[in-house]
Amino acid sequence: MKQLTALFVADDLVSFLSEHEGQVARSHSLYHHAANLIVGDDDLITITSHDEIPPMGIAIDCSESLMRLFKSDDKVILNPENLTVLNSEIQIDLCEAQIWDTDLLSDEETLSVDALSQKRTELLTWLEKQPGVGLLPLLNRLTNNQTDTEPANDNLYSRYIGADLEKFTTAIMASDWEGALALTDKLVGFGMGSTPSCDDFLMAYLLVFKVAEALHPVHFPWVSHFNHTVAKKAIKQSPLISAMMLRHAANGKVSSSHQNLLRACLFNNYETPVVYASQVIQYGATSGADFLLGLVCALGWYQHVNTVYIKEGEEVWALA
Amino acid sequence: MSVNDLFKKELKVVNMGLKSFYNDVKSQDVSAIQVNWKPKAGGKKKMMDLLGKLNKSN
Amino acid sequence: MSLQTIVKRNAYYDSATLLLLSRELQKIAGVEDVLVGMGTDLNLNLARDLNLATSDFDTLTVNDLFIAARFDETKTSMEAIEQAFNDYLNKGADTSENEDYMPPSLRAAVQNMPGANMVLVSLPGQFAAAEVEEALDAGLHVMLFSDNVSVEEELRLKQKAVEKGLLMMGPDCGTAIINGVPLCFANAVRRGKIGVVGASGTGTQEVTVQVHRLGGGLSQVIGTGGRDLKEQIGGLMMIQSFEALIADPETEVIVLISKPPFPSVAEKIYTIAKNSPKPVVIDFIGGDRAAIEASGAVACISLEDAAQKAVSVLNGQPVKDFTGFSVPEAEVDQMVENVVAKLMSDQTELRALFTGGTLADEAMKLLGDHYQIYSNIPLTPEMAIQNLPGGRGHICLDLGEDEFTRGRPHPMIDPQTRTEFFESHVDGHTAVILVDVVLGFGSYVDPAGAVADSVREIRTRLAKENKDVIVIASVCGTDLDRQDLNKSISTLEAEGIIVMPSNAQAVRLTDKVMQRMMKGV
Repeated sequence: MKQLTALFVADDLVSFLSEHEGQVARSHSLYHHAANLIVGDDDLITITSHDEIPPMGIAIDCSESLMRLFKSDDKVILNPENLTVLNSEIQIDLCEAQIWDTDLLSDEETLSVDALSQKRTELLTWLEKQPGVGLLPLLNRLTNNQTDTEPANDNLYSRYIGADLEKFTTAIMASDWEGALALTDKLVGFGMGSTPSCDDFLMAYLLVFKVAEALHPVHFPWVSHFNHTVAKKAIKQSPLISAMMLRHAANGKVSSSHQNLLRACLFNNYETPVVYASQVIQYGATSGADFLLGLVCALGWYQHVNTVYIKEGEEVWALA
Repeated sequence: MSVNDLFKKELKVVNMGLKSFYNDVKSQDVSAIQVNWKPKAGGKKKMMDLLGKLNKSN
Repeated sequence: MSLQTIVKRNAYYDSATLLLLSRELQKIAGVEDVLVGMGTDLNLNLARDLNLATSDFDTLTVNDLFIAARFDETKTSMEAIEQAFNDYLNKGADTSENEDYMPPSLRAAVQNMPGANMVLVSLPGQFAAAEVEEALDAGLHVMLFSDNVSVEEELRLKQKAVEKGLLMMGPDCGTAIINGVPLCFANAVRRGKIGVVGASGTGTQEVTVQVHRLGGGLSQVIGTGGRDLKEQIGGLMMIQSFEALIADPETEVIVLISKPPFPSVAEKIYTIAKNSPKPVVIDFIGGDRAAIEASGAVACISLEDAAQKAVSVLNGQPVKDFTGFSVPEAEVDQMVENVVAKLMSDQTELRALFTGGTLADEAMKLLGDHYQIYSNIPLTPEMAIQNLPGGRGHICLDLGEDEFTRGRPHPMIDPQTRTEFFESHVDGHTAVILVDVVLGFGSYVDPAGAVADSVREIRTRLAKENKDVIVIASVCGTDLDRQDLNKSISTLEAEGIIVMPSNAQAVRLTDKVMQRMMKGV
């Protein structure tokens, strides 16, 4: 039996494994650098050969493509100490792994409105220069960005959904949560790939909402309902991989590169968002770009509510 | 391998970062491999310590 | 026209694959429209709106992949489309197995390519040092392109490299040619007997390019990174490389290029030069000529001069300073008269906009103290660009510096930064624009075209004031570069740009023009 070593295990998976000891998972989907395992009907575990890791993930030390390593119909026995992959005859030892903290919130101090705005501008300026894949051709339209370099929009999906995304971002800016939530009917599950473009876009919003709620719980009582409703819609409307991703995002959990990026945008940790954005944009051709588009839009909202907070004091927030 | 040994060998390049540097080297029929690099996740505690605790509580 | 759907149950592909796949399918003759996606309700609605829906849609779930196509059944068939789909995915699997699999770490890469000996690192600075250290520990040579690596880390890494007898070129090392292979930003040049160690990227490029044009060739070109000859690093990599070239049987003449080193570091280098059995040519740009000559090395007055002297030494010809032009001086003077005649009396200012830092530095040093030139890399602190009085005066900028590249590629890769400076910094007071055009691996696909476009735009703009402007350029490149030296020169000349054979000559011509202007139009 081939032995592999896990480098990192996500903290949510640690508790999951102790609750599901001895149970059997099946391989669900295989990529070069990731293998998804399904447990029961709708829990996914992701094994990745990157040092980078998603919620419910394990990062392993492996130089081979996981598409070659795993079989498409593999069964995996779960244990807190190790995973045993039956058909491929692999054992993954978890004991030496470090535990990765899935919590997006950081103990670093929050940014001033000016600093937030500066970080967002930095990201936006960089994003303008990226190839217009996925929903990115909608960047200027959704951010009211004044520039004369409107990219050609040759993508069927993004042309089709532009108006609905614009309605969504406008509704959020106008604090019309119910309206925005209703609009997600038209977004969840729309786009190419196992994580459709609009899901990646919405994921950024759910995460930023979650941070806003955690920092100012009084002012955002609707976040929990909003996030979980979107996640619930995804179970019906989206592929399983995407639905899991949104479920994690609704709880403020996201893979480590995205987590680093969000922290660089929202907290005073002296990191430059662009460094992490350039990693995130490499995800699955359009997924990263779609997430980044959602992120600059969501940061626009976050900046806006922070401005209101400073200008008009706590009362306005209490009414919101 | 010393610098002067390197001068006598066929150059074999590992590229970490900008893909265009990899493509440029490849286009000259030089052996090259691109690393699909991602920033490391930060871990705080070790799994082993936690497993120890779990076993005790069981 | 026929309308059909292929369904793949529980199929998961990332959007990269699907995007490329739909482009492939769209190319099939007879295919009019095709949509690929996961069978979510919203995707199916899009297909319905595009009139691509079939009865198969009723059976689709969110975890199924669909390919809906409308096609001309006299030209193709759904079987052919499905075949193309399978072929593409199989081909994808093949290439990924044999060629394109990208391992996730350095260690995994070395396992996948036994015998790896050189690691190029261009990761963001804060992550780079750790990877370099791992490479050195594994006995691999390193070229570190990234900047934002601290001096302390640089020292530690270089000490480790020297201990292990490895190259650690960088940080911020842009150019090298090892065993004839250009790495990062480097020009395609002939192999030969001249070895170069350079602490300044475009300076090294200019020397290699000029050597090639003189019919010479290069054995090895080693970069050290710009801080190597400062006190803290002590010239660790220049010394190690210098000694390697002395020991290299393929190298007959050694050229060293740097800004003036810290005195104690310079002394160490002079000592090695004194004992070198091979001739040494040194261009410490604007450095101490007497000290260089005392070490027995040949001193230079420009990058071009360094190349000429290296080739002369190699060919056993006498060595002399090259201070003039490749064409007779009288021709140059006549050209100066012709172009200065086009200027109005209020056009007095120089705008030197460089993408190569060393070329900008060389320009300012060659123009000397005849002029007050403001710069982001000023020769003296009071000439910092922030001190430019009211925006009026001579300006020379290195547009590759961090302050201009934050969040965007280096101007050698993406000409946009310089394009914007042409718009914002050139106006009716500008007399002369001086630029570099750097070709080679890593550089933009058509840097000459980008400059030509900007100059055309400037001329149109100035014509409204009935003005014109003098534009002087040099091209750092060879006939073997993919952008092609001759094609680049033609592109520039077609726009009325005066193209000189080297940066030094372009600067000297600029000097002549400005001297002539000062005498009055």
